[in-house]
Amino acid sequence: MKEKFDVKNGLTRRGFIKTTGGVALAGMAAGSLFAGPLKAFGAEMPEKWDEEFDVIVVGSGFAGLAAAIEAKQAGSSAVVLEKMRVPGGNSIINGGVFAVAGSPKQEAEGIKDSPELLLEDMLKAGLYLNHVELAKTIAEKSREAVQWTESLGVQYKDRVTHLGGHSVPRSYSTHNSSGSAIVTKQLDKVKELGVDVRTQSYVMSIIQDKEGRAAGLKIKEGYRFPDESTGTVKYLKANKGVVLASGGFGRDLYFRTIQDPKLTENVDSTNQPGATAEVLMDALRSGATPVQISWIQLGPWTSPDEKGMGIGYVFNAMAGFVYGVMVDPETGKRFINELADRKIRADAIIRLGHPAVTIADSQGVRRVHNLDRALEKGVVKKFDTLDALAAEYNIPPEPLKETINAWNRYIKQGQDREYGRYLQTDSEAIANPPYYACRAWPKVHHTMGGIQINNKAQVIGLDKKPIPGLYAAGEIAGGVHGAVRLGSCAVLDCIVFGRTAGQSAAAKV
Amino acid sequence: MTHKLFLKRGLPFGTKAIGLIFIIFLFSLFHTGPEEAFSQDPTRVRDAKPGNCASCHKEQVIPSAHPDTSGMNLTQCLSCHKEEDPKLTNTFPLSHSHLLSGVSCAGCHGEADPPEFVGTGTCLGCHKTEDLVAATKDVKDANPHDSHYGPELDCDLCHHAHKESENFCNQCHEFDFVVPSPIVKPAKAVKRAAPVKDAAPVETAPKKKMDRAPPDAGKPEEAVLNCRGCHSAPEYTEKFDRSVHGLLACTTCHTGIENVAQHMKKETKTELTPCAACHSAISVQFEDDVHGVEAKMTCAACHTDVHIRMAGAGGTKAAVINRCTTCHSKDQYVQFGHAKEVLQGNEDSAGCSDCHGLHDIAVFKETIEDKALQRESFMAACISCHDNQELVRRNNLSTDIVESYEETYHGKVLHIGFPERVAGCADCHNGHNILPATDPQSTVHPDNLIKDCKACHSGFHARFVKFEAHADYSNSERYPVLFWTNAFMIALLVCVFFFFWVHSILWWRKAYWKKWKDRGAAPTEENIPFALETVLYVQRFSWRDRIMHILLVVSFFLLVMTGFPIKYAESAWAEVLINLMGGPQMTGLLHRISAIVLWALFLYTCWLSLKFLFPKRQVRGWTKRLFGPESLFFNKKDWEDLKGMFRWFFNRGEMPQFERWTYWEKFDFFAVFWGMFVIGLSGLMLWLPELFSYILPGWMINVATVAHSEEAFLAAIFIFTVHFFHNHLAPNKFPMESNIFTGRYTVAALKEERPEEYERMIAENRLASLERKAPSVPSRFFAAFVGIAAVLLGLLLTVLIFWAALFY
Repeated sequence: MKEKFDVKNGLTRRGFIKTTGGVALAGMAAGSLFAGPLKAFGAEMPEKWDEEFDVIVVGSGFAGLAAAIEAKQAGSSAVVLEKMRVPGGNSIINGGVFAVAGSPKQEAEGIKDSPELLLEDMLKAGLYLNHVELAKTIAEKSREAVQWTESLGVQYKDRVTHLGGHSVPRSYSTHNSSGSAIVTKQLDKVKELGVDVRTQSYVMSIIQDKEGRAAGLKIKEGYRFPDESTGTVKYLKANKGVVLASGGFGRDLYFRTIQDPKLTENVDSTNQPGATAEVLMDALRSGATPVQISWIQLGPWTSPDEKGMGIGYVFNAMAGFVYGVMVDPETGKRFINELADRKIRADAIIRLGHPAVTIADSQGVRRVHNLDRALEKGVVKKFDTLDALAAEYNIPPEPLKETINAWNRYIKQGQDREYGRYLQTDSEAIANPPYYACRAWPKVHHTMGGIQINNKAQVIGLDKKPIPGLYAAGEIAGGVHGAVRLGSCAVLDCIVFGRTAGQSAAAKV
Repeated sequence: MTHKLFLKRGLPFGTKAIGLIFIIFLFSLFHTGPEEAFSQDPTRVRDAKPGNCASCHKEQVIPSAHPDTSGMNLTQCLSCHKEEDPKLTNTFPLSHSHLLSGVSCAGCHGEADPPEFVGTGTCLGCHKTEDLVAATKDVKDANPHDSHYGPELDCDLCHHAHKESENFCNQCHEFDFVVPSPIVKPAKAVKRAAPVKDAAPVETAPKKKMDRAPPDAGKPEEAVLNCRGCHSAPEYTEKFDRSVHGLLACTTCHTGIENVAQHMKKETKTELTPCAACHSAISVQFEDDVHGVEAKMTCAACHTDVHIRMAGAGGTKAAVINRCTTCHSKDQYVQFGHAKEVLQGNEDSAGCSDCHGLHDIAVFKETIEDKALQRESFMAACISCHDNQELVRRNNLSTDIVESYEETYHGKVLHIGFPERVAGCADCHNGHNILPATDPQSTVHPDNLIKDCKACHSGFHARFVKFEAHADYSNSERYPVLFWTNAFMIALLVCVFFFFWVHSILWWRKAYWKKWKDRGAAPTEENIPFALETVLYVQRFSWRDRIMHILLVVSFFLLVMTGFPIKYAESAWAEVLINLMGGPQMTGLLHRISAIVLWALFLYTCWLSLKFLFPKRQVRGWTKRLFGPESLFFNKKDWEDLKGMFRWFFNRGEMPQFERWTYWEKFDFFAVFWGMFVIGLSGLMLWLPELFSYILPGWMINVATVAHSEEAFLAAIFIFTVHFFHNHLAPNKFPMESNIFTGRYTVAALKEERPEEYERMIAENRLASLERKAPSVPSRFFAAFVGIAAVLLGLLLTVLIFWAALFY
């Protein structure tokens, strides 16, 4: 099209050949650049930077936005780069639960909790693979972190939620049960502070100076995910530092199957499509130390009957696992503590070889805010009798009834004698029809591993020293959660280390 | 431009030409090269005309049967494609819906070259975020314009103007909603869309004035600007732009200008695109319009304001009147009456088009059929307003003008299907300059009425015009004679029916009560008839009597069946009966023939009566004969018998001993006699109203109408109920008394029914002379057949009459 308009403008023949030839040459150059193997070296320092900022933040999720806010508030100029066409990454589609140890809401409910208990829970779930200092940091700063979000105007529900692997209910839940409640407030703040969030900005490479310092980024503007050929190259200079907050790689099939070959295209993910590994890979190339990258978490609460995170998980997480039971449809029996950590549960379901069935009664579903929609979509089903439920999922009815009777006895007795599951104070026997059920089958949810950081969110290089000017926070950073991340600890991690990274970068630590 | 540079250098002509050809060759190379490779892809032409598919698409992109879309706008597209699923706007790219809505390429991309990038900011220049959020607030699953990302996302996440749109949400979710415009695949679209060629614009939107899109583009700026260089009068410029045609180009209608220079030298003439190209429904109407057919007029003859006419302008009744009277005489048509009212601002009143139509003004020829058609169609126009109670009250007009007309002979005959034979509204009131009767200039002013009546009637006296064309029987002040005639007739009806129906019911009760009481009782000696008496027949009616009765029966039925459809002209069966009789004309003929027969019978009866009273011109003893036992005249015994019957009804005595004629038989006779006086005379008056005007005033025709009508009701219903009861339904007669047809009955019957006559016959020794053979089988069969048929027909007619009387 372009050529045609040129001709209309009356180019001479020579001019025309010159122009098209130039375009062809440029195309060839670009082609070789993109098509060639990823270079072992970062991009060269450019002759001229297109723009410069004190702090460049990569990623517009919880961590990235927290970093940008802190950096700007510390007096640095900042910009947020986002490769997708919308801001927020996984954070904006996150479930909006935020682990807080010893919170005012817990106090109001009379729940005894402490950062130590949270740390203990994290370490236990993390199989003690956690970098304890990092885990300890977020446990200690949880109260401060949630208060920071509240200062941005984020609203939470009154009651705290009990998520799997936590020994007590401690998770704040945003008013709309979505991380968007936090991200939108962060975006408001960023806008208010005058920090640009630039979508469709794809980071091609971290540019290091001769000393190895992260001096800036080579990016593509106008990038249209996932079309590699789109966008124009720009060089952004980071006077103080680059904060990598680009998230995990749950949707990066290539990188994911390298780390865990089981997680092929047959395994769905709860993540947004932009959850890919290119920034992590470039950070590794830049000399960052890899940490536990093959620990990829599957969410145990997702349904195989819908795409991605979907809506059925709310039933599983808020009803089936908390007030109901999860059974193996082949035996009609429970097979795991429904509130065990995610890995234990996901592994247990995968061991079954087929989706599990979670069951709750009309009392159990009272906190499932989207029940009607889930029923409408057919992800959750409703039954008048347990027999009907058993028939639908091919569960042997008698063992199923025994399982439920046993569970009801445990509630009376105040103790789960089979798997030692935590009993809710308001638990009731599963005896109030109608009954509800949902299938559960894990999906890739979180990548615990990543690059190594220290307590100041500095990226630690293979030379055992922080890489100057390079900071990381959130899912790209490894070690905080060890083998298994507990539910609601990701938001906490992102906010705490995101803020730290912004502060550190601004202070050029 | 390059070639211009060449030209400026003043190269020799040959070089110029070769250069030009070379450049054109280059152009053509360039034009065909890339496009051949992607022949499916449209070329985006920046000055693409809306609806002109060919400006970008090389190939046929809409069905060949589809009406020409050139110059259509989206509203026009949607006027046909309104109920499709998926919606039309979801089946083609957003760029198309924009273009068709008047947003040109430059509207988004600007005039710059290359075209400017279009971002969300451009979209928001027209589309407001809050409107978008509101528009999709009820979208199932989630509002895509107010998601967890908030309302301020980039439009092109989902909406693409030049390629298939996408559902951005669905990269994580599974939402079903349609994102405009996803370019729904043609196969799918064809399968689900309504067949375009069936959607005839005229039928789908009959009321819409313009049913086809203009034949050419919406408004190619250049074309308009060029013309306006010379044609700069306001009606071609700013006024035109505001007009209802303002979106069209000059060349949309004025075609044939191929060379502007020639045009400017007036060497070529422009041609006009027929208005029918767009206004096809109206043009189809106009093909039969009197202006088109007779005056060969074109649209522009009346529509002189096509360049300046505003949307919704004109359209008032006054505007129509003013337009029509540029040709048609003001004095003749709009000086008074309806038009004057309209011009004074009364929109209730009728303008020209309310009666004549606008583009479908009928041509009426001088044939009887067309006269009828004309009368009917104009009357329908009159009635549509004058029968609208709200409207007439609002304008202080008579509320019953239509109803009262329908009560007259004119109204009824017209109603029954004789519009060519009787006067309609305009025959008296004229069609134009209609004034109230009090105005001396009014055609219905008493002084002018003779002229009106003469149009149809001739040979009448001046008092003929006293006829009330809108007689109101209920208005005792204006029409006292009519009112009292009507009242008298109704009182007569009520009295007669009350007496005889009560009489019949009591009789019926008594007879059946007696029968029930005597059931199973052994016959006593008294009530066993003498065996011989049951086989011995005597004569009751002569041949003459029987033939007279049969003539009476036939003529009576014919009169009822031909008269009542007019009395109840609006009833459902009226038309059926008329058609059964052989059409309106045959009905009238049969009615009159029957009337003559009845008249003949009546006169013959009078003659017979005279002969009876004055046998051989002997006057003496006529009173004795008049009140004697053989006479049909009432006498004292009838009074006694009547009282006796009532005593018998109430078990207070035996049944009276009757003579030759019972009192009810005498009443039957006199009913016909009286009836003939009323119904026959009034009928004659209605038959020959002009003649009677020499004797009686015109309003007597109204009186005659009432009398004829009500008396007919009395006669018919009396015969079909009371007379039939006495001779067919009474317990001792059921199913019928046949002696009126066979002429004879048994001595036993004579003895039982008329014992005094029997005694008298014995005493006068005349019984033997009356003795006859038993009626033959054919005569009995004839009696039974005719009798039963008459009863059934009579009862059927009774039902029809009551049906009409009660429900119409």
